[in-house]
Amino acid sequence: MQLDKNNKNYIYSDEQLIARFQEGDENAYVELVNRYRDKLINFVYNYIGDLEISEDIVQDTMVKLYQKKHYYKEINKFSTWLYTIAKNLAFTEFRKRKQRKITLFSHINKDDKPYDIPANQPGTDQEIESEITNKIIRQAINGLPEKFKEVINMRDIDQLSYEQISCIIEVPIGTVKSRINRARLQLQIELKDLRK
Amino acid sequence: MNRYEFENLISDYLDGSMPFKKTEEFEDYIKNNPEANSLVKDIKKTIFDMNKLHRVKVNEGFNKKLLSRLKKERIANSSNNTILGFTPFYASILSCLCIAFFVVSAQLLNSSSDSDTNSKSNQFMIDSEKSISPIAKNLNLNNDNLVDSDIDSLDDKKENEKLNNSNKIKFVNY
Repeated sequence: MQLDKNNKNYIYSDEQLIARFQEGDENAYVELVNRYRDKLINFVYNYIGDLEISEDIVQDTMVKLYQKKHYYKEINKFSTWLYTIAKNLAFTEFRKRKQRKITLFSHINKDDKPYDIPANQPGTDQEIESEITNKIIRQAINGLPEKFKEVINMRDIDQLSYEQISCIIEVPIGTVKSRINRARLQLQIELKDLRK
Repeated sequence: MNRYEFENLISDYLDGSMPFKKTEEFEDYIKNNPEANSLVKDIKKTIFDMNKLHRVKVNEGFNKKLLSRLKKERIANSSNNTILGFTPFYASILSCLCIAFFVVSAQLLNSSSDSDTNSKSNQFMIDSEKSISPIAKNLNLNNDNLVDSDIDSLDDKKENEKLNNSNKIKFVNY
């Protein structure tokens, strides 16, 4: 089994790949890992705020995918199923950390020290400005109530569909849409200074 | 359209999922309300910025680490041979319990069937005693007598047959 990192041309759909993996084709598993590892780490990172722990959770998600491959049924999209596994693992970790009373990224207020997001070293003024904007937006998102933060991350950062979000967080699509709309409005209030 | 309705429809408008008639109504409202118009533009810009937010990536050694974890898991799974989902230790305990259960239940069944047959035979004896006619009772006939009489009668028949046979033999020899 080899993991090819530069595999960008997707011949098979996710559902076709998982079907092949269920039949024993381990190359299909490799392909799925390559497709989803970066998407998942961003998704988990939005919950946890710690890159190292996020990576461990993505590893756990991939191990679960390997072990529980037969549990996937083609009722939902594969991505929804995988994101749900990752979300559950992230929540478990989130609860553990809460019990340990560790200050989490999500609990940092506006007055607290902003967290450092690993980034490429910015060069030009434009890049520096964009980096600052990124930080301000991140902080504004983290200042939102948990249920708004969750959906705005999924929709506007991870770019998941309303249907996928609805399946992952197990609430009706109407509620998802309403939460996203309210989150965007609230975010706008937080970012008023940025837009002036 | 009022302000409340406008705010509720912003996301639908930006996602392009609003019906045509409603879209016209929405656009009329933002034309006449510069504040509403700038709010829609700002939200659109924020969404654009969020889509472009810096993405984190997994470390270079992610796949290697994953492979070694999977190998370890496989080894762990192969060493943990199970019998119908149970470890050998629990499987042996369970099988012992099953055997013990069958032995005890078999013994219980046997003892209950023995007691049944005994009670049935006792009942039969009582019934048969009751069924003996009053004349027989007057003659003081009991089961032992009846058996004895049977044996006697059989013995008589055999003796008669023997006599007859001896007669026949005598006749041939003569």
